[in-house]
Amino acid sequence: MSGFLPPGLLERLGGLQLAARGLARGAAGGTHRSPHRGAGDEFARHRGYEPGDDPRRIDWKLFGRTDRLYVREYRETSSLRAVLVVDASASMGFAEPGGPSKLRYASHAAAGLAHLMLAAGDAVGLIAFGEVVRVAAPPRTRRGQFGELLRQLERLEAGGAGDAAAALERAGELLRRPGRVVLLGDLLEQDGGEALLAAAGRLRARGDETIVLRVLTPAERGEAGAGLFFDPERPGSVVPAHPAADPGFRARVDAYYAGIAKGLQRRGAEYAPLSVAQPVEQALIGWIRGRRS
Amino acid sequence: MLQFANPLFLLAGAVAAGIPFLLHLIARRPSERRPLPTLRFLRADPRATIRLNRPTDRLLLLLRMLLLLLLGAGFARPSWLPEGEGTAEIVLLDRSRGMAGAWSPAVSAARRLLLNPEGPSRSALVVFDTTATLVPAERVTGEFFDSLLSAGPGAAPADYAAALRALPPAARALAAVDSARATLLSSLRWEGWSPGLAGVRRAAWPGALRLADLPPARIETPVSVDSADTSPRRAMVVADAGGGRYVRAALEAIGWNVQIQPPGRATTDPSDAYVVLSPMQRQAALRLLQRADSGATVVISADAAPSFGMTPGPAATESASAARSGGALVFAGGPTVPGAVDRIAVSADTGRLLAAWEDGRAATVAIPRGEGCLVRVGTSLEGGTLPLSAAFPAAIERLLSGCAPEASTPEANDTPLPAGARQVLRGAGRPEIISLATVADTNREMPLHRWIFVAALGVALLETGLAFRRRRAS
Repeated sequence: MSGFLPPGLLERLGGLQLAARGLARGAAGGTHRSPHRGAGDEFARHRGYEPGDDPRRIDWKLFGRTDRLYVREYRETSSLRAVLVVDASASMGFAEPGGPSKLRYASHAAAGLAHLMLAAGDAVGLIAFGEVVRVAAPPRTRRGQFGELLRQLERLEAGGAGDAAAALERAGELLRRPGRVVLLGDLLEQDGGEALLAAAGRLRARGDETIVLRVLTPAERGEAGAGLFFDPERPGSVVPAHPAADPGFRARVDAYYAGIAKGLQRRGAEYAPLSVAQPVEQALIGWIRGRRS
Repeated sequence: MLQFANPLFLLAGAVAAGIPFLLHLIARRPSERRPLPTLRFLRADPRATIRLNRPTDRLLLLLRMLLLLLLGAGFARPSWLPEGEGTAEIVLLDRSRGMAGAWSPAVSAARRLLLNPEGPSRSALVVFDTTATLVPAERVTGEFFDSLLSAGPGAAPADYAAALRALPPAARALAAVDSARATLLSSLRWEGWSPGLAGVRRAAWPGALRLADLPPARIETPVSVDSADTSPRRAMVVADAGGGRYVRAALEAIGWNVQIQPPGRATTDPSDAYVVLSPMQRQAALRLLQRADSGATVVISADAAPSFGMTPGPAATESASAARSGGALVFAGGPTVPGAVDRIAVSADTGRLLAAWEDGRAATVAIPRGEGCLVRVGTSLEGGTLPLSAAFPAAIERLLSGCAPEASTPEANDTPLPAGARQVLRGAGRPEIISLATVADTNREMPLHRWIFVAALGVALLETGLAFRRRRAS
C-alpha cells in the first residue's frame, strides 16, 4: 500500500481544507459551517432576549449602549458525510506510454481527497462503477477508514461500459442525509452526459454538495499520431485516423466537456478538469485553492 | 580520372541496394490497434493507413542500402588514374636461347621504349630467362644497351612465369609516377610456357601486356663433332594405297630418307625405322619384329596393332562429339599435337611412356625389343587433323626416337606459342595503362577499394547496433 500513492502526495496536501461550499448538516464538531446556531466558537449575530435564554449570553455592553437586552448567538460547526465515486469503466484504463492510467490517477486524487476529509472529521466512503456499481466502503470516520479506502482504491480495475448516473444515485442513497459527492472520471457517457447531469441535479436538489472532477490525458485531446484506433468500451470498431492532424478533434472534445461543465454549473454542481499530465497534488492544490477564491 | 577494374560490380551493388528498400516496403508492420476513449470525436482518415505503410525506420534502411552500395563499389576496384602525369614503361626483355635471331630487334625496341628524356625513374627494365633480374634504373643507359647487344642472348631457356613475377617489384621501383604500361619483348615460344602460367599472369599484372612482334628464332643446337653417322637416316612407311604421304612428308622435313611400301610386299630394304600405318600379314609383322631385334625402331599405329599381336586398349570414354573433334597427343616436354581421332589408351606396363592423351591416359609407349624398339601409338597417325598440325613432324621424330634416352629435343622448344596462349599472356580486354595502386604489393598507400571496404565495415557495425537497439526497444 505504501507504493500505491505517489511519494509525498499526502504531505504536500497536508494543511489544506476542503470546506463545504454550503452548510453541512452533519454531526457536531466538524469544520464545516452548520445551519444550526447556538453554542459554538464563531459569533453569528445578536438576538433580542427571550425568557428562558441563558443570562450568560446577554451582551451587557450592548445593553449599556441601547438599554435593551440582547443575547449573542454563535454558529455551530458540523462534519459531513462524503462519498467518493470513482469511474472504473474500460475507458479509464487508458494510459499514455510511460504514464499512469486515468483510473490510477483518479484513485490517487480520490485518496488525497479522502485524506483531507477524514482529517477534517468527515465520514468518507467509496463507490466504484464499471461493470456494475459497487459500494467499496460505506462512509465512516473511524480509525482505519483511510487504510480501507486505500485498499479498495488499489484493487480497482478498469472494465465495462460504466454508468455514472447510476453511481451518483447510489451515492445519494448511501448518504441518507445531505452530504458531499465527489465524482472522479472521464465523463465519456454514451448519451452525451444527459443522465449524468440529471443525476447531479437530483443530488443538488437533495442538498448534496456535488463535485465532478474530470480526468483526461493529453492524447485524448489530440496529441496522438496516425494509427488504427478503437474505443475501449466498444472494441469491435476500428477507425484509421490521425488525431494530431485532425484540426477539429480537440475542439470537438473541448466542446463536449464545455457542455458537461455548463450543465453541471446550471444545476449548482462544481466541475473541475484534471489532466494526467499534471502531478496529482498540484492539480488538487490548484483546484482547492481556486475554489476558495 | 576514376577507373574501375570490375565495373559490373557497381551495377550489381546498385541493384542490390534496391532490395532492402523493397523489403522495407513489403514487410509492413502489423497495423497496431490503439485504444482512444475519445474516439467518438475523431474523424476517420484512411490516409493514416498509408502513412503506416511507409518504410519505417529510415535510418536503418539508409544504412543497409549504403552498405550494399559500398560493397559493390569496393568489388568494382576503383582507382584514380591521374591524367597528364605521364605513364612509366616496364619492359620484360627475353634473354633466353630462343632469342638468337630476335636479339637485335628486341634490344633496339627496349632502347626505344626506355631511354626517354624524362629520366630513369619513369621506366624499369627486367631481363629474364629462367630467372628475372631487375636492372637498376640508373644503369639503363645507351651504353648498357650497347653492351647488352654485344653480349647476345643466353643459353638458358625462357620462363615467362619468372618474368611476370618480376613485374610487381619493378612497379615498386618506379618513383613519382602513378600509372604504368608493361611490354614483353620475346619471340614467344612454348619453351617459356609452364603449367599455372595463366594464374601467375592474372595475379602479377592487372593490365594488358604488350607483346612485341619479334621474329621467331631457331635455337642453335650444339653439334658434337664426335657423333658418328652423318648420313641421312632411312625410314619405311608401311601403308595402304594412298596412305603414308603425311608421315613421309613429315619425316623428309626433318631429314629422313623415306620409302612407302604397301603392307603386302616383303620388307627387303633394311631401314633404321619403320612406321606401320595399316594392318599387315603376320609373317610380315614378324619380320619387322626381327628388324627391331636388330636395332630398328618400329612405330605401330592403332590400325596396325592387331597385326603384331597387340590387343587394342579401351577407347576414349568421353562423348562421341568430343571423340570426333579430336584430342591432343601430349609429349613429355613437348610438343602437343592436336587433332587425333579414335584415341585409345595403350598399356604402359611394359614400356616407357612417350606421350599421353589430355586426360592423362597413355597414348604412346616405347617398348624395348632386342637392340631396337617398338613404339605403340594409340591412334591412327594419319587420322583426323593430326598430320596437319605444325608439330606433326616433331611428334613423328619423337616417336622414332623410341627407346633412346630421354633428351630434350631442341626443335620442339622452338614451337611458337599458340594463339590462345598468346591471348592469355597478353591479357585480352584489359587496359594497357593501369594505376600502380592496383598492382599487388606495391606498398603504396592503401588502395581506394580497401578504404571503401573499411567504410562498409563501419556501416555494417552501425546497422547492427541500430537494429539491436530497435529490437530491444520494441
